[in-house]
Amino acid sequence: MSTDLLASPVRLALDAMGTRFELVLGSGEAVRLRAAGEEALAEILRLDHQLSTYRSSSEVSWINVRASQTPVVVEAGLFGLLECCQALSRATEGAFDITVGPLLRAWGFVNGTGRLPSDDARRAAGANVGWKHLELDPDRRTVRFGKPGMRIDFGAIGKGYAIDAAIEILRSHDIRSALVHGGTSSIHAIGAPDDSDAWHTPR
Amino acid sequence: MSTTYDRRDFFKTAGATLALLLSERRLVESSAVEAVVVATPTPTHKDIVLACLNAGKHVYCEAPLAGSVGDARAIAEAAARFPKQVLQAGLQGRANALYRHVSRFVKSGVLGEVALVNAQWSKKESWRRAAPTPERERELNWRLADGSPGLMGEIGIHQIDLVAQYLGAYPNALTGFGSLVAWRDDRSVPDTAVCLMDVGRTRVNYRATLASSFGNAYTVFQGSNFLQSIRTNTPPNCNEDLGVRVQTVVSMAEAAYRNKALVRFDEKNRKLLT
Repeated sequence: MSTDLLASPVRLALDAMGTRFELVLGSGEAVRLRAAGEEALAEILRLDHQLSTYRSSSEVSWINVRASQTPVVVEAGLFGLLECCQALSRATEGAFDITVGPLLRAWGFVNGTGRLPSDDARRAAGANVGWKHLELDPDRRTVRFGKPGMRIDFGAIGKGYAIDAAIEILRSHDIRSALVHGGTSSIHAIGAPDDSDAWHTPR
Repeated sequence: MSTTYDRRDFFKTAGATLALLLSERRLVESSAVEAVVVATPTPTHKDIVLACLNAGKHVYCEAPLAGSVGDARAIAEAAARFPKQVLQAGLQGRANALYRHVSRFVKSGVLGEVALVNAQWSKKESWRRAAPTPERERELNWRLADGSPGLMGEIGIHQIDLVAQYLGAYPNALTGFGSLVAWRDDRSVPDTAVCLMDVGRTRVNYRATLASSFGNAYTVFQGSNFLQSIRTNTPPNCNEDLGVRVQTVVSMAEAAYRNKALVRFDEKNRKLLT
């Protein structure tokens, strides 16, 4: 592994979304690769600030506070993500569901390692869960919760979405060889490294 | 399934119409435009801001106001000729509500006399922008070229302005050093800078680097009774006089770096003394 900042392959890392993102850019002029990589990481950081339910200043935290009372106008990219999540919920008949926020809290998965909720707590939380109660208005680009205690959480899709956005930026800079992962669980690669015919990930 | 979108859609949703005016001349000539946000390379600010003011438009200009004190003064003089139009220098400490809130706390006198200000901005990044062609890359990377206001002008200006805002004073004397440590590509601008400033009885120590992220960014005011620390991770009302005055500090820092010397500010004649 090179420690020279101006040599390729360029390796960059970022702490975001409660994990470590790493980026390897294979072949080309290192100075140019790094500039593109830094832009990609900046986009991941921007999405963390937008999507995180751990940041009270995030757009998603704002939605969770407001959307039970009134439709909330959301940023265009985030609205696209909400539509994408709704389509996934429909396709999986609710197996994938970003409205699980109240259940995550009841089970102690937010800022904790989990706990067994009482039957009452589980029922109360469950009553406020369900993707069909998430009302999206594409014309006004608003989201509204059909139940008072609803909360959305992008924990299941945020990392992958951020990696897709990073890859899109790398492609826009004509990067032909790159690997981006978030906490080793979400990975996206372009091309292959200089010295191999494929990216190899640990088994 | 695509989650990408066209940013122009945002303006449609917001009820605004958006036209792409691909040159500042067309922007200035358009009668539909009432106000302009200038976020172009710093050395180009003066000509664009003057053209906009002359065309009757309000202007919000990103910091630093201009590439030199002379240019900044020219902007301030032009703004004075058009008192009905608003010109705002985009200094974060004046616009961010959090900074203004803390300002009231500091000015209440609770800190006692401020003895030291320790401020830094540390981020390991190349400061280089990627671009599809070499020509475009040169244009985009004006911050790395000769004539760039450098770290003190592009970054330090916000924290120095915060110090000026809270202490109600600007440096009388300043010395500093710059160095290129980590990013020895073809750039001429230092990636590491240190500045020591004399602001009334307060001593200010400012440093910025692109070589290390250690400690991130903060501004600490150490008073005789108490201290106040402001931490920032992200970038976020200032009149033109304030914009010019803080620009002077950047010029002092640049002169200190080039002459390897202490630079004083002559308040009466508004001149740098080296």
